Amino acid sequence: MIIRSDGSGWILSQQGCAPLRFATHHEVVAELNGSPADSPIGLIFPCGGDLLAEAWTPLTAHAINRLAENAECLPVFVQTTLDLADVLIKNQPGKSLWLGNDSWLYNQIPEPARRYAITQDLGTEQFKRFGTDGLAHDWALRRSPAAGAGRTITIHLCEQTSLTAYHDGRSVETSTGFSGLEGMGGQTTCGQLDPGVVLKLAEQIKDPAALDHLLRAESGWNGFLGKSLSLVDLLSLQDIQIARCQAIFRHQLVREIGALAAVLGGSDQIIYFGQNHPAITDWVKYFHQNLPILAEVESNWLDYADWMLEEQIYSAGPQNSLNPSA
Amino acid sequence: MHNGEMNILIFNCGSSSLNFKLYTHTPGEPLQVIVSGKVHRVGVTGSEPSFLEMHLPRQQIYLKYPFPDHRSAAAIIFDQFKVSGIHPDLIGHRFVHGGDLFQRTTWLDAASLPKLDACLPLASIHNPNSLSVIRVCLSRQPKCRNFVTFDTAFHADLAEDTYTYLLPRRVIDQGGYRKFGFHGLSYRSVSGAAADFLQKQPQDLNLIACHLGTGGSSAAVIRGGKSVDTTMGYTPLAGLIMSTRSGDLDAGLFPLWLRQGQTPANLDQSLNKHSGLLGISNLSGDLRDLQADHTPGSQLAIDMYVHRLKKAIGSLALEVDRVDALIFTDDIGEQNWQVRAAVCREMEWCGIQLDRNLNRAAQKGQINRISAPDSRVTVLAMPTDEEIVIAREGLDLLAEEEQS
Repeated sequence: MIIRSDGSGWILSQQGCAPLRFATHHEVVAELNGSPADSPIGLIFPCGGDLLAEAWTPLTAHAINRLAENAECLPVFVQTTLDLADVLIKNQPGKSLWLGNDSWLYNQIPEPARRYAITQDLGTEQFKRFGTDGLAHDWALRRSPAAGAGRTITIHLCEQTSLTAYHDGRSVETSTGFSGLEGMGGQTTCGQLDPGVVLKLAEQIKDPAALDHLLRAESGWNGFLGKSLSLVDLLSLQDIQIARCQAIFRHQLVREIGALAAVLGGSDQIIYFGQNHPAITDWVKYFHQNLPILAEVESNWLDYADWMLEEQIYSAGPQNSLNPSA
Repeated sequence: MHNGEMNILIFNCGSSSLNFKLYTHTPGEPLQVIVSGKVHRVGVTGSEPSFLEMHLPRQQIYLKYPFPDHRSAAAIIFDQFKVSGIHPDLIGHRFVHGGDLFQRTTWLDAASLPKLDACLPLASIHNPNSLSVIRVCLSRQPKCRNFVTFDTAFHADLAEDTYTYLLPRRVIDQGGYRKFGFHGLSYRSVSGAAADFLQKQPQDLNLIACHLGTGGSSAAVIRGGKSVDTTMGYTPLAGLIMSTRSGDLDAGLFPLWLRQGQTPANLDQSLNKHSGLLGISNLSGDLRDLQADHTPGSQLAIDMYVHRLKKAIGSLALEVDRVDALIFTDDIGEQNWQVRAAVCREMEWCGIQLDRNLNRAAQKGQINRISAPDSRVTVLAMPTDEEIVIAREGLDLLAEEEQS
């Protein structure tokens, strides 16, 4: 069972079931109370950065304390994940609890790609392009027949689409940055913004949490359109206003693919997974036709919660599957 | 002014430089440069001092002087003009950001001056510099007419999917937030000159131009003479890593910085004046200083600069169905062969292949073809001439006035 934040609530995924969404910690705990005692629970921590060395770490009070002690160096929104982690430790004794580090895949990207061009006073060491969504991208790469060879770009099509570039199976660049707001705009996330615009917004919105909420939960295509749409809705519905956002999505996707192709020196394969749509296939074909960066395109539907449970948590062995806090 | 002849003085404020040229215009003849010059490293601290170079018909002036700002630089230029007996009839200015208030070149008058003042916050590094030079001109040459051109105007035709930020509609409407783009005068200059050099019509060419200055840098993709996309945004802070500007950042950093006690004003200063190459290296914002330094910090700054630029070129390349030419211009783009070599490495995937020897041998002040013979994309290292673009805009304004 995997729990992850979608910005304003919680998505709970488990094998063979449709994902469930919960608005509060209380609702999540109530659902988990009914789950089998031997069913492991993985909570995805979106931006673990350098603080979590492994993809999966036993969820313990010690691990949470370490993250909490460094909270000022973590994106503002991860506090809700820390809060839920604390609740799980206290309310799910005896269960196998795990913390998934969504930045883990990017611990190895080269330093020039990992840094921001800021002053030491602003935190060159603390604030890096740690990347997010790495667990899903790792899954996608391993599912590819050509995993580990050549130049690959994986595209996770979802409410916050992200891309990763790999050279011979090693991640070398991501479209995401420190907090997940960098790169492509999402359902409620602003994506790449001129820092000068963020400065203007910060002058008006003094409260850091309110600014974070505006950029993370009130923006994106939902904020622009003033209505709530999934990515599939966005790409499927025919409406003049929605078409404007489709064009923006396409434009941003093109730019991100081009940026990663430049880092790789071209691309041997592009793997896109998640909420695939015929429009995206057409776009990728368009790129392929005009610039020879694609040798292979594979489409997958992601159910990475299953995979993570089977391949990662279970394979960790019984010695790691017990919650030390129990 | 004699028989329609006039002297047109052009001021072009960069973030750390002040270029100027004085043209003689004789009706029916091309503009002739009679004086040119540049104040280097205005307000910059580093290993080299700031200085003025001025090229007169029979005299070269080189003056080391601590130019703390553009106002002092303009004043010294007028002092030199007075000594040399030079009198401009018309003065043109580059104004980086016209926002929504200026879509085209305009006369400086009682109506436009307050609007220029209103544009100052839009480009907090450049616009105040330009306005300070304008005020020096009004003071020192009160009888001269002034006109103002805008870098943002070149990108006025960007498509909605390119200029839109995915913010709530009410926020966009309140703040007027959109991508404007900059260095438009330079892009107009090099795209026209490249078309002439390649013996093509501008409307038949797809170009990627990299304007790499000692202060600000950007890249743009230009299709048929019109801007399709560019790396800078609502402000010149976005995009590439620059001398003291950070370029793109994750917006999620800002709430954290505010929570740590930073103010928007502090951040504005840090990200515009102390970040970029200077922030990474903690040594200098001048790429030449870093290339001479050979320390890990300087090398990291250079590598990050190149990495970001490569990504930008890759992004822009996919926005058009083909790229005919890649242009490197302004001080770094035209003169720094090491940067060009690093950026073009492993870019064959989009048709870019440098000729190593031609790249190293490229000469300042001329258009150099530096691509390999079998490169699908022609790569050029060339000068930009924003001043002549500004001067021509002024002549167009005069012609319009005469017609009306």
